[in-house]
Amino acid sequence: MNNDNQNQRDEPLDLSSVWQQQKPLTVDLVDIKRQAQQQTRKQRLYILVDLLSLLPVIIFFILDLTLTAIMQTFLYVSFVIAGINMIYFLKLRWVSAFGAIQNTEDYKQTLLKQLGNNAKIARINKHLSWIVVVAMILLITINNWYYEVAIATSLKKLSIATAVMMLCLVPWYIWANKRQARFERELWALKISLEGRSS
Amino acid sequence: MNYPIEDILHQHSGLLSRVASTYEASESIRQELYQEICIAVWQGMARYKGDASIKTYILRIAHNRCISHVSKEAKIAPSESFTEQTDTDFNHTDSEDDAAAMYASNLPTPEQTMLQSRQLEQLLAEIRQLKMPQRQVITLSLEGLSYQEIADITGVNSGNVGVMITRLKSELQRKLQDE
Repeated sequence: MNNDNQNQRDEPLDLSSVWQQQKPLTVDLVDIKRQAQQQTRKQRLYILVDLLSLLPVIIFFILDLTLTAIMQTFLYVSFVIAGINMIYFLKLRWVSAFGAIQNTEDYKQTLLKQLGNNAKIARINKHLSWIVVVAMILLITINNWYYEVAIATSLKKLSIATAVMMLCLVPWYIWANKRQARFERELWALKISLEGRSS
Repeated sequence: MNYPIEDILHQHSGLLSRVASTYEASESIRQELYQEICIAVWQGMARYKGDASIKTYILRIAHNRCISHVSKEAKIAPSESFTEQTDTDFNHTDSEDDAAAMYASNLPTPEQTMLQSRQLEQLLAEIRQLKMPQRQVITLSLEGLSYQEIADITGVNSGNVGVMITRLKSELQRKLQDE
């Protein structure tokens, strides 16, 4: 017995045969097919939603509403920012859904960059939410002062606009904050993993 | 060109399971990860152009999926040690039957089975502590892939692959045999 143990220690261990002892896991292939098709449909739907996200702003242009110069400028700036945002996320979704499968090193670098960018974008979106509120209040105030709108009417419009914006933008702020935290956490986790740690 | 994806997944179930175990110690999460790998392979086969072997291609998909998994599981669920072992099924037969006796004598003893289980658990624990590129290279080597195939999957230079494998194997063997 002691000789057997000694012999085992002297012979190099066959790591491949130890490795191959693992029992394979099982899955329901019918369920896998269903989920894969569902995910492909979702990816296509998200791409469509991204494209349609500019529709509200485009409708403003089509309707040719009589807007003040200040409001028009605000609309154009919103359109440009939304457009840049849309193109970036559209590109990410397209590559994820239809791009070539990269080797793992390239994939890691791409993922690190994406997570970093997504955290930055979430931080920008988070701050944009309160910046938009402040900007709109300023714009409406300047607009009403410039066009000599009565103070009572001006205050009423401002209150309604602020209430509506807060309703939309407070959840937006919370959501963007959570996304920033999530992407920063994922980026940290990936970096730690690349450096090696105990599992 | 249509590929029989069910056959590919069935044929490579062991391979893909082992990729999942490389990255995940928790049994329940490993099962989920394996499922995600299978879904990713299913979707990935639609983009397969035949410029690599199917095995190399699906390994690339599997490891990439696991990289995403690692970043997403940052909550760090309590890691369970890998205790799932192969079933041991001893068929001790009548010792007067020579063929059966020989078969029985070739079966691992309970002590050997326990030793193999412990070695596997240790091997997985050691591999999971490696940096990701090293983890990928060594496990692909243990799957029998050539240096060039490993280089294609990981993006590591094929010359460096050989050096890495030699060093890692030597370290792992030493650690496992010292225990």
